[in-house]
Amino acid sequence: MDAATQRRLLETMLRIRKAELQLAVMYKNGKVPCAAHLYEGQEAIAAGVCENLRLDDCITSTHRGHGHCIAKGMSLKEMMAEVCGKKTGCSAGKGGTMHLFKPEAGVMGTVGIVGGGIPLATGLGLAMKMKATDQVAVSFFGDGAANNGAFHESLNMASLWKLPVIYICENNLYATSVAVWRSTSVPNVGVRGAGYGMPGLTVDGNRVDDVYEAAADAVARARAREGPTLIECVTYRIRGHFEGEDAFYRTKEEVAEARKRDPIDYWKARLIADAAITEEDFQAMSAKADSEVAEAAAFADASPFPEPEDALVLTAKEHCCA
Amino acid sequence: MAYVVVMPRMGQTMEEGSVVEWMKKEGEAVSKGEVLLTIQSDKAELEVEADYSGVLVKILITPEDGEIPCLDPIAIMAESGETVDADRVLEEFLAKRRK
Repeated sequence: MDAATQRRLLETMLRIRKAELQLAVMYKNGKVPCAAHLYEGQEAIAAGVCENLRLDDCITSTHRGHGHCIAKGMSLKEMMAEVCGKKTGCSAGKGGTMHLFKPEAGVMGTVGIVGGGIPLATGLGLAMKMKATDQVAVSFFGDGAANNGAFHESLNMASLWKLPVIYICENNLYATSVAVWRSTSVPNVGVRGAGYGMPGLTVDGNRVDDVYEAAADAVARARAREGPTLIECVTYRIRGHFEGEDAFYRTKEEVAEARKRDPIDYWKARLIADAAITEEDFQAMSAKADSEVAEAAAFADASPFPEPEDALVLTAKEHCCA
Repeated sequence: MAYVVVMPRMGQTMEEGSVVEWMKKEGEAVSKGEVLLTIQSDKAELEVEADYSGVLVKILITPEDGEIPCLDPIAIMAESGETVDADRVLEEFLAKRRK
């Protein structure tokens, strides 16, 4: 991995982290009109995977999708404005956190339905194959979605037809309030790849270099039209399932323990140890992310809500029948 | 800069909340992320963390006040060392909200 990539990974993770913490504050203060599922602690996965993607590659995401959108190239302003239901948002303020779309950047939607993005990414992969492009599609989904019928149907079909799809299971150990061991028949979702005749890996989702390397191989395989890959990234959901949740199903000690494995701390320490960056470089990156996030939050706050006539923009008719 | 702490809306169905306990006293320093108080939402008792580091200048709502609407002021915070007129901060907040 070259020095520029190492730094970009850190910058992406910082932007995601700071945007999420800012949204947590905005949520408490009534600025976010719908639920907010935040990505704190899982940043290495979005950053590590998307660093391997081109602008014309596509992703589908989940209810916890802000990080994926940022890593794929959606601006902080249009993401935050959309989450606040504002007209200047990527979906004109009509979708909110669970309908973040930016086709120009390959963000084909954060999907509120658990597992809903998996068949969508599979369909995108089929379209790419039929059009004979060298694009790839990535589906981000959680451990809960891996027990959903859509997962089975999609992975079977993608492997059978050698579709250029990378399935990224973010195992954050909890599906809402259900611990993964209570709901999942295998200790690691990665082993399920074998059942579909595709490579299935399990990597440490808090180590951005491990995620990056695993995704690089999978993307190369997909671009070469050699078929799909399943990568399970094991991580931990630091915050509640949603903002305002009383996470009664786990102990504070468990969360405190998980915080010690912070993906940003890990990568920062690695880069400093390798003399790739200095503490001053890190502080500068952190300050830059702070100011970008503050600017985006102010933009979202100052933007107007959509007007009734805005119901007619960004429609399927406008997009497909023009 | 001084700011108003509001009864947070912790969930889509929460319309009102009450203060269960202030974990900090007036005049006490608070670090960002520290638990400022606990509240009772429509569903659960929850900890509310400080959004910024500073000093808890004034507590406006106590457990005796019972349920109040979400986003109503419950306290005034300031930066450490900052002199603030709590009444004026509150007045400005309410005036801005009426707009």
